[in-house]
Amino acid sequence: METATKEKTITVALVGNPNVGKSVVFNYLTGVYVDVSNYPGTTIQVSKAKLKESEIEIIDTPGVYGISSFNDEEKATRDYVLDADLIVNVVSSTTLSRDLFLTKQLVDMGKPMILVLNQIDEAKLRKVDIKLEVLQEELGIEVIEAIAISSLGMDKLVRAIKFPESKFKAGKISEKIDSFILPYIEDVLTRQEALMIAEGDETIADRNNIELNSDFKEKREEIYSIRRKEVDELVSEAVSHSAFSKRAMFGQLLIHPVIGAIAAALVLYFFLFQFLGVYVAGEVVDALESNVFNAYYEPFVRDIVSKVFPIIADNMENLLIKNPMAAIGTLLAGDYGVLTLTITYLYGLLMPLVLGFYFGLAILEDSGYLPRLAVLCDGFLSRLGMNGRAIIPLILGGGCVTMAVVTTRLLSNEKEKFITMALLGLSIPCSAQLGVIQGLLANIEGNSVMPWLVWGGTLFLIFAAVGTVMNKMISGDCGHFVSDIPPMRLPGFKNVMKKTFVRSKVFLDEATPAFFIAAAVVAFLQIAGVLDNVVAFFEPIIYNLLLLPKEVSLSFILGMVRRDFGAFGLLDIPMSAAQLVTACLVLTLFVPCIATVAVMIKEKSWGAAMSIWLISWVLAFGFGAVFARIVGYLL
Amino acid sequence: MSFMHQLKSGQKFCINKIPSELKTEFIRLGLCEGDELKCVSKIPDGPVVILKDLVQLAIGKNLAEKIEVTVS
Repeated sequence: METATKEKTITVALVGNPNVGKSVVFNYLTGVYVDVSNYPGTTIQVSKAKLKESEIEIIDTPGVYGISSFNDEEKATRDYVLDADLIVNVVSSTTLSRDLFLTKQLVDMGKPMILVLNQIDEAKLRKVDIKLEVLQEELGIEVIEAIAISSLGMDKLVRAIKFPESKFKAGKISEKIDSFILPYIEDVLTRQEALMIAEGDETIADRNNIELNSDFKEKREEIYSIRRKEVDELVSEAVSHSAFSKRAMFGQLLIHPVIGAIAAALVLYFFLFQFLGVYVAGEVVDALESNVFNAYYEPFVRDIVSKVFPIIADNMENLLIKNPMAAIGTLLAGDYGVLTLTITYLYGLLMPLVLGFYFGLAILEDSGYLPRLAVLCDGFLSRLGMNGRAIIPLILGGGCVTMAVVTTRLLSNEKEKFITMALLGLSIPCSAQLGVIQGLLANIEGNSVMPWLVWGGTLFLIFAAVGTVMNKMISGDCGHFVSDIPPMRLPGFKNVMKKTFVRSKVFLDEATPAFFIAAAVVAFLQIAGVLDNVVAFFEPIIYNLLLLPKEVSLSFILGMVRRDFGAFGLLDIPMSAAQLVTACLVLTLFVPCIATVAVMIKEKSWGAAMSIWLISWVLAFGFGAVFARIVGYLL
Repeated sequence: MSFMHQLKSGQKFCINKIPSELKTEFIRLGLCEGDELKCVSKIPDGPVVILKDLVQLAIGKNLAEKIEVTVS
């Protein structure tokens, strides 16, 4: 053992409850950015990187409340904990009675560790007084006070990892719990595994060929109860606090049944309609398009391309054969040209919308609002076969439905997952589409809020109706909802910006090639003279069923490839207010894009993905046909 | 006898019984039988929000229905 440790690199695992700032610490230690969010399940993949200027490996593990095998995150975290040479346990100063349960468990495993008491500013703000020496003394490990977000205490942590006094120090093991471990300590290599087996961890028992006693669940409960008592005693000794602060009162109002609901409606209105619709999709995009792209960029590109290739706007029949040079020119810089339309859409339209959405989302997340929204929606969502937790993928869907489908992993059961995926695919528009739709609806003449309300209200009714029907049709319960509600806090400007840029970049990196391919295909269909035929094929459905202009069919074709691409076609088609609302509604309901379908297959199954896809067709045109005939009375 | 979902905002209560299949999960979150706690919010037909020390926990209705409490 001795020689082995000398040669192998030292590994340090960052362990802690969800939402205590592990990823921020990881970011400081390694210089690598991981998406930091205010809900469990964000760190689904484990990140590893080297501590700056050293060979020590740092591992960021998924947030857990304890080490065992209750779910995938715990299993992953457990294995990294078992292998690590040092545990850096990050706890939030505001939730010690919860966080220290995991700390005590790690101490009982006999792991060398350092405790990072994060967010001490939050504790001070709330007049919580923590006696550092008491924690240090009772746990027997080094405790470092920190505000990870502003790097406070981080240099001390780096020193403690790089230059430990002797070797890494393990804590004081609970004597009461020790008696449960003794029977196994001879059979198993290490103390940490013995504790896992005493707590009834089947995987670890199997690995050591040990049969668990039949009463292992009772034993686990006994150990947990003892540990809970010890934690509560420690907390009452080390932590003292005075009354609720004003900020906590504000957080309280947001989960008040009536005031909270009004606040949620206002948040939706300002974020979607005012900010994304009127401001970003309206003013910013208009300014960019008319002042930059249509005024300078596109004419500039057309000018250069037309020096070599002729560009043609109509009469494309057999262009590829009749005039190959003109075909290339049109492909590059024609109406749907790869260098003209695609670039304008990507950077003049998509980019501001995506940035706008993720900026708003980052503020909602970092302020601690989302868990409150989950609480408010839980009752309603459980009637649709989901629970409050599903609000996270549903809101993320407003950014990118594909990414949101991946986060359905954090839902506990299969029924919940399927219903959430189906409703995501059916009724949640992704950021670019959402932005374009908000822009279209907010800027219908008169700038009235009515079209937006009709669109949103109808979507909500369809969402509720389809969810209710699925809940009745699919057997099983919706999973349990337990969630801690972090305090409301002022979002940090740096973190909000970082999140916005990192997420937008991920989105744009994925969207850019897909956009070019889609644009090339459309441009190619156009010069091959096929586009008109495809449009003609959809025409009767669009015209007779949905009462929309025939040009809209192109939007639907593009929407199948990429959801966001679809909405763009709508911008230039003249339509009445009623037609616009209908088109926006049907496009929102219409099939999820290819990338989303691929992820659905991966996360669930072929059958599930295909049924969601086909149902979207039927429902989009079915609801659309009815809606087109009544929308006139609503506006 | 009453259950957790029947609590009203502002009431103080004591947890009498947590069904065994939920016990370990609840212990880790900080809730044990015998704990004296306060209900800080109740959404009609939705979760109960309780306060333990400074941690606020929301517990869904279908879970809260299974937990026996005494209002003090």
